[in-house]
Amino acid sequence: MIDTPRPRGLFKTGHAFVAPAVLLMILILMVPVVVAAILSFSNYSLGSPDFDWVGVKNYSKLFARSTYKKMLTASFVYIGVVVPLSVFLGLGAALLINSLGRFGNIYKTIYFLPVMATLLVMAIVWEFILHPDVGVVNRLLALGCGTFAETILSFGWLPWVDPATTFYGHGCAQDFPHWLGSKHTALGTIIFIGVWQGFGFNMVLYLAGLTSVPRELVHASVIDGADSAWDRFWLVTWQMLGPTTVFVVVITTIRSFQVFDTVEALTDGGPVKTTYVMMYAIYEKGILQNLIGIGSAITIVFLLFVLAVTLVQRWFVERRVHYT
Amino acid sequence: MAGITLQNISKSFGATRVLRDVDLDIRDGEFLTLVGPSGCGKSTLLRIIAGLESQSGGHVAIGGRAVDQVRASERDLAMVFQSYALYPHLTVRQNIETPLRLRDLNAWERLPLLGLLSAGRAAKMRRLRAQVAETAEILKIEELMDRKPGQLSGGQRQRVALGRAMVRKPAAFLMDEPLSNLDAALRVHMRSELAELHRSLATTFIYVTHDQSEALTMSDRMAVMMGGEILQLVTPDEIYHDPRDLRVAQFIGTPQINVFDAAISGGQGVTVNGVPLAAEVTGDGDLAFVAVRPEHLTLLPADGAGQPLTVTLKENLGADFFIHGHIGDGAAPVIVRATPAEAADVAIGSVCALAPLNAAEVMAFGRDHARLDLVMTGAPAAVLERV
Ligand SMILES: Nc1ncnc2c1ncn2[C@@H]1O[C@H](COP(=O)(O)OP(=O)(O)O)[C@@H](O)[C@H]1O
Ligand SMILES: [Mg+2]
Repeated sequence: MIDTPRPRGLFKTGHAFVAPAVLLMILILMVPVVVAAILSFSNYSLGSPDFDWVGVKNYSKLFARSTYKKMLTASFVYIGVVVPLSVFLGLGAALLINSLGRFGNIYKTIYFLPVMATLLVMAIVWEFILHPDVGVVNRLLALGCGTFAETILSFGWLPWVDPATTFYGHGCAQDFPHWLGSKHTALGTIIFIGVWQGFGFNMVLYLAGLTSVPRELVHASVIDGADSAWDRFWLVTWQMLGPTTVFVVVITTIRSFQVFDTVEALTDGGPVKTTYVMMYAIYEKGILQNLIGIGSAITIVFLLFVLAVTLVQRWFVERRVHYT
Repeated sequence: MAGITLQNISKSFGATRVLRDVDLDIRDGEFLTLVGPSGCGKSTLLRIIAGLESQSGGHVAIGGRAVDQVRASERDLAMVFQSYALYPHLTVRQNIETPLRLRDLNAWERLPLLGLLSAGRAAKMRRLRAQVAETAEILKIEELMDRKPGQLSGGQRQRVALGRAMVRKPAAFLMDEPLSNLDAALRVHMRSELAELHRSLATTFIYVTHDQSEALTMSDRMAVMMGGEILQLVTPDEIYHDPRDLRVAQFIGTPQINVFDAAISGGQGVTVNGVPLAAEVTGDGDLAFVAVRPEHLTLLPADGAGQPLTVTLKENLGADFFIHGHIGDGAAPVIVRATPAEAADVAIGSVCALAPLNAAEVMAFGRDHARLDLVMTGAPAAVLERV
């Protein structure tokens, strides 16, 4: 920057130009957060004229009551599984498509479709697919019962396995799971749909990242003796994808924190709160039950988590990732 | 150390033919330069030699061994790239170490922590470190060893790239425009360093460039490529003074060689722009052009006996002047080299005279661009007519 004294008027003009943007940002972003922070110390509910300040009671509830413990468990299990799975599947799909050439475009479209589709609509489709009696999944599974498929899939051919205790054997003998209604399978099913829906987005980000891997660098590694695809991947591709990976992980984490539509449409947080993720909890407390105070407290905790993720990203970008 | 032989190499990308039946015999220990305009297929040819790209037809042999089926890492060649292609996440030391690690350590020994448990690793690593240190000393980059490529200047990166290529003592070095990302002064300096390095290593160098001055200054022999073909492969001296193709004559030499329309009139006699030249074409060939280097043209005072030359530009290079102009009102542009004394009384826009061509210093080319041989008839014209 050139170091000349600037006239006073110019300074003011500058401020005037930035003012609308700053004002909008304060109105749209900062004010709601501050309001939520204030309300989280009250027992306010919408429509009622009076309310009391309750101090940190909302927050202490959050960490004491078993409902909220289940909420944190559900959220973190969801994130802990969806993030690594959809990042690795996205990377794997991108690498495969990148090596395919001409037919790659077909797969690109197929994998990206769920990203574009409205999750609420897709959730209804999944509800049909996973319906315990008329759903395609269980009907398909039932087809195999009593045939050689049951013998194979129930692992009865392994001498030390009792076929009646395995998943498939048990399913044939009694029932196949009620995927969305059983507390053992509901979160897993929601996670599966989350991965199915999300990895296409990561794939597209990785495909973009792969185009920035310099060809000469790959050639250099080949000349240097990186004969196996794994050596080349480890020495060049993975390193050059560092910035992409940080971005993909952060985006996926934040999106996973925000998971809501599948839960709302398919499980309503149940059974026994096994799929009671944070966003659904905010919705249930703040909107359905009109408990603005506790809803705001969850929101603030939610924002703190997202903030933490963002800070970790900054740290990575500044310290660990190699740009050429 | 090895010679490299290419036989009938051709390469197509889809319908585009990039290389057309290239034959090349590179001698052991030679510094051979491939020079040609951008897009003529130099890099493609180099990548085929390296094994990074497979040829559509033809054979490559290194040191007498056919390597068509041999993968790049086993051809025992090293390559230096235009972008240097250093691993950005590794330090200079690790960059130079990489080819040794990938070759000398097995997959188990390369593992981050478990590798340390393997028995022979410590001894191997000691040997490897010593080789890296030796290379760093030769290239004088010892104080850079712990930096990352991002913290180096262009010239330093260039050295590291050379180090990574040298460290495993390959049979031949392949270099693809290694100096084109450097600034002009450093480029000239690195030319002499590379030539020096070639002398001390006594290894085969194949050097690709689009810059004729690099080719002329460094090479033992140079191959001029154009449109996927090698037009001529001889010493730099011969390329300059005895080009066998008009395109070679035009590509090599700055400023460009002057080309005049020529024809045969009255039996074998040659006329240039309608002016007779004291020479005849031997053999048959459809004479179309006569070319003369700027240093072989002479300016006469305006009243001298010669063709009138309208001056359009005077280029001052200190020791020499290049006078640009055109003959008569025609289009034919002409460049003449003049001493400062000769150039002193030439003004832009003025008309001077171009001395008649010296038949001993012109080159004749056919319509197909091939060189035609001339024999002089009588004394050189310039001497006769300059009174
Ligand atoms: N992988 C490729 N696919 C298609 N065309 C290519 C490829 N590589 C090079 N070419 C084409 O081959 C020609 C020669 O390229 P190259 O060998 O890089 O030229 P040079 O190094 O002499 O500038 C160019 O016209 C280029 O467009
Ligand atoms: Mg090139």
